[in-house]
Amino acid sequence: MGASRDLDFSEYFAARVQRFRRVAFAFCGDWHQAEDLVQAMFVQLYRRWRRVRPDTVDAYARRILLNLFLAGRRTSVREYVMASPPDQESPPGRDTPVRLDVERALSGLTPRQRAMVVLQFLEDLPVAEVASLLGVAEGTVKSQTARGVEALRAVLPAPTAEER
Amino acid sequence: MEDVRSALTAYVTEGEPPLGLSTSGVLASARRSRRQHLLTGAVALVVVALALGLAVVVLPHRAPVAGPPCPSSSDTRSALVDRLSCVVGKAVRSLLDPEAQITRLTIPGETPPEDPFHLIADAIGDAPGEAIFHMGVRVTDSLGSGSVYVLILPTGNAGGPPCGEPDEITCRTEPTPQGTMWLSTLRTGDAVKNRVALAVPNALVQFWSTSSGVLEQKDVHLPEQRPEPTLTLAQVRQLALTPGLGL
Repeated sequence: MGASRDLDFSEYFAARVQRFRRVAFAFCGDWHQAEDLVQAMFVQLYRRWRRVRPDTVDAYARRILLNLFLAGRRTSVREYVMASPPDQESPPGRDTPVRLDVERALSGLTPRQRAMVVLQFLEDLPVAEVASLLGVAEGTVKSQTARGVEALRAVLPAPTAEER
Repeated sequence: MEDVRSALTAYVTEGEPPLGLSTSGVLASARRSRRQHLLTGAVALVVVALALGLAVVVLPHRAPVAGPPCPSSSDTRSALVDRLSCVVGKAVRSLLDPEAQITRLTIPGETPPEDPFHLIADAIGDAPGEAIFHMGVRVTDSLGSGSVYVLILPTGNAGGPPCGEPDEITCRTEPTPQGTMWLSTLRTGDAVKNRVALAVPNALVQFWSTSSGVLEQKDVHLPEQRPEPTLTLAQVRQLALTPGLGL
């Protein structure tokens, strides 16, 4: 029973870890913190693994991740102390001007606004599901997301004629 | 909206570092966390069970709260009343069920004081102790209503109520280190009264307890409202011996 549970869980982890790490990164803007959030999410998920229905496991995991992120905004998940700055060179494409602008625009949003934008545009969730996840009205999600999108558009290159 | 979608996708994929999490590492953490979670739950359950057990054993037998000490001043009549009321109140309460309801027995038109044990002082002289101090309270508990009374007379070396009264059931005297004591049980109307008087050097201290919650007055027939007086004769005796009741 335990072995089968671990096997299922391992398969789910392998299939979803990268996707959830990207969502976590979009939430917080830091890869180390994103990994912490995702690890904490999988640890919590494991505790209830037998009770979660297979068709709702993604939604359940997403809810855990979101709660961890929002709770971590109040009490930091983990603090990193480094003796000196890392001397490794950033991977190619890591600090492109557009990427830095997007990061700046996202960091100007409140944690909940940022979560709304990420869930709607990176996870492609409908407004109703985002509203349910955050416990707010759909109208709130629409208005808050509109402000987030506006902030992002302000830093994005103007779309070409074909993109329009 | 496609531009926002693409920008976000690029933001999380361009320059993405290699994954630092492994299946085995996360699984080990998850198993450890689950064990701790279960252990914490079990410990919490044991603690709650122990606390409940302790409460059941200890709470019914807990000692009454002592409360602040009574004032010691007797310089004025008012100060003396405060001191005696406090001493009497504490002594009586310590013998009653904590759940018992205590109300002051009053004559028609009299406003009961805030403290049901606050003594009435009927002056017979100018000195603080030259007064008759008295009061009565009704005590209602699971057995019904009864009462407790106190009377302190400033008559040094006076005798207590003599034995041989018409409705007497028992009566005896007893010498104590504090002075002579008179102990009697009497019938009063349909009720029963346990009464103890103690002659101390400057006062006669008398307590009694009845099996009726009706105020004892001349020509009033007391109904019996509980099977026995609120306090036994031994408890009334204990009250009479309470230190600090001299004038």
